[in-house]
Amino acid sequence: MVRTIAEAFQSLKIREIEGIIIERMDKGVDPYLLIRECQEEMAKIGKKFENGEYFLAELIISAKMFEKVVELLSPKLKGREHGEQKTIGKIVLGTPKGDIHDIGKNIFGVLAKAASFEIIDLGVDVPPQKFAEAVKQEQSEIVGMSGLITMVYPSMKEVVDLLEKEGLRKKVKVIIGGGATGEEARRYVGADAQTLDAAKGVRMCKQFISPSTVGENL
Amino acid sequence: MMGIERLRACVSLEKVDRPGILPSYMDRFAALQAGLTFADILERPDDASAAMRKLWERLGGWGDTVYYAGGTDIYYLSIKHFTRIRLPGKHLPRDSYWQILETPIIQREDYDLLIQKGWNTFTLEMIPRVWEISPEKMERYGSVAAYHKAQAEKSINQYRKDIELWCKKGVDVFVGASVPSPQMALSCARSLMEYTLDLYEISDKVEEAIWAGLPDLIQNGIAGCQATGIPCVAIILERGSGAYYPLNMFERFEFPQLKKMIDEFVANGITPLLHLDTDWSKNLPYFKEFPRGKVIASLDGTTNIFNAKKVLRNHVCLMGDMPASLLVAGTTKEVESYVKRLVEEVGDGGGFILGTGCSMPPNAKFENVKTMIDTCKSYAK
Repeated sequence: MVRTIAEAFQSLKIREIEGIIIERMDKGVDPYLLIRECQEEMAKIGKKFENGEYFLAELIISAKMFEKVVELLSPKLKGREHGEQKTIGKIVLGTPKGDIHDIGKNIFGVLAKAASFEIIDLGVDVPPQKFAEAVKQEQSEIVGMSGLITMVYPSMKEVVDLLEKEGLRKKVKVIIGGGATGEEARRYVGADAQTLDAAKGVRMCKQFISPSTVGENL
Repeated sequence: MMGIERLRACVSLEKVDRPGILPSYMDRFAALQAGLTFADILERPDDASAAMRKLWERLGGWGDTVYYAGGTDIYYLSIKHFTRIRLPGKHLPRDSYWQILETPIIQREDYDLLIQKGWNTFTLEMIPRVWEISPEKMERYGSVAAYHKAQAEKSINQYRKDIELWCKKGVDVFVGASVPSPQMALSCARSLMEYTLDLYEISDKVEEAIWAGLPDLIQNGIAGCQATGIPCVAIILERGSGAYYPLNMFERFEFPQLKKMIDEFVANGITPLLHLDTDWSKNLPYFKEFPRGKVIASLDGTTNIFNAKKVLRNHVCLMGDMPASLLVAGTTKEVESYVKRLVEEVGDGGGFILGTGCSMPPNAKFENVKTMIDTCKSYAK
C-alpha cells in the first residue's frame, strides 16, 4: 500500500491514487497543490520515457492516473476566487477526417494537460472546418493533429490550408504525430513539427510557446 | 537467380547479387490504382485480386513473388484479433479505409474461458461479440461453429483460387497463412489500456491465458500453410515490442511464446515471417536465440533497420522498411536514395529483402513505388 502521490505514480498504483487524493483533500490540502504535485510526477515520468528508461506502458498508466486526479479535483477548482488552474497555452487537438484512431492523441492530450496546457479535444474524424473554427473561437496557439493511416494526410493538409486561407496560420503552430507520419508527411501537410513520441511532442509545444525552453524537459 | 529461389536464399543468409523484393499487402494500393474503392475490395475479392495482377504488369513485376495472393479478408482480420472493424460501404463511406476500433471486446473474466477452452473454442464464443452477426443470418447457419466453418471455407477457397491465378502467370505466392502472437491478439481484444492494466494487476492470469491459447495458434499456422500449400506463416506482432513494455515483460509475455511458435513452425518446414510493427530495437538481441537462417524479421520503418543489421547480421534475414510517409509524400529522388542505402548497408553480405514498412500505403505515389522496385532491381548483375 502506497501513501504518497509520488509513491503512487512511481509504482503506477492506478487503483490507489484516488484514495490518496481524497485523503489529502480531507486533510485540507489545497487542490492546486495536489494537481501541481501530480504534474511534477508526470514530468518525471515523461522525462524517463524520453530517456528510454520508461516504456509506453508506464506512460499510458500514469496518463490514466493523472486523468483520474483531474476528474476528481476539477469540481473543487471551479468557481474559486482565482478561477481555473493557470495554463501555459491552448492546444486544439484532434484526429482529422478519415481516421478514427485515438490512442496517440489521447496520450498526448493527457501529457500536455499535465504540462499545464489547456486541451480543446475535438475527437476523431474531425472535419477541417471544425479545427479552424476552434482555433478562431479558442484563440489557441497550437493545433495538434494525430493520425495512424496515410489516408489522413490530405485532411491534415486541408486544415493547414484552411488556417492559411482564414488568416490564422501565422498565429498558430501546427504539430502532427502518429504512426504513419514522418518528415515527408510534415512537409506535405505544411506543419511546423512532427513526432512519433507523445512526450517529445509536448516538449515541442512548450518550445513553441516559449522558445527559451529548448532542451528543458517536461 | 529468380523468384522464390532468391527469397529463399535471402532467408538462409546466402550472398545474392541483389536483395529480394517483397512489398506486403499490395491489394489496397492496387485497388486504388485500378479505380476501385475500399468497399469494392471487401465486396468483390475477384476484382481486388485482378487489380493486383494488373498492377503487377504495370510495374513490370513488383517483387520476386507476391506476398499475399489476394485482397484483404476482413472476416479473418477481425476474428484473429477479436476486434470490431468499421467497414467502408457499411459504417463508413465506400472510399474510406476500414478501421479497427480500440474497444474492449473481451473482459477480465473471459481469461478463464480462454484458459479452460483454448484459443479456437474461445474464438467461437467470441465471434458474435466481434462480428455482430444478425440473428437471421445465424439462423441460416444453425450455429456459430457452422457459420465460422462456412466463412473459413469461403476464405480458403478464395485464397486457393487467387494462388492458382498467380501460378498461371508464373508468379509464386510467398505467405501461406497468418497468425497473431497471443499477446498481440489479447491486447487488441482487451484494448491497449485495459490489457496494460491487466499485465500490472492480474499478470499471472494473463500469462496463463497466453500459454493456454498458444497450442491452437501454432496449429492454426501449420494447418493454414498445409491448406494453401505454401510453407510460410506471417506472425503478426506489434503490441509486445520494447516501445510498449519493459524487457522483463517481454521476457514473460511475448518472447518465450514467440520462440515456441518459431521452433514449431521451423520443425514443420515453415518459414516464420515476423511482422514487427512499432519499434523493436530493444528486443532485437533476443532474436539471436531464433534458429539461424530460418526466420524473417519484417520491420516497419520505426525500428532502426540499420542498427538491426548490426545486431542480427548473419543470423536473421531482415525485411523492410520503406517508410509510409516517404512512399506517399516523398520524391522519387528521396525514394531512390533510401533504397540505395538499404541495399548497400542492410543488404551487405546477404540476408535482406526489400519490403514496405508494414503495408504498402493505399495512396502511395505510383512513381515512388516504381522507383523503389526499379532501384533495387538495378543492382542485379
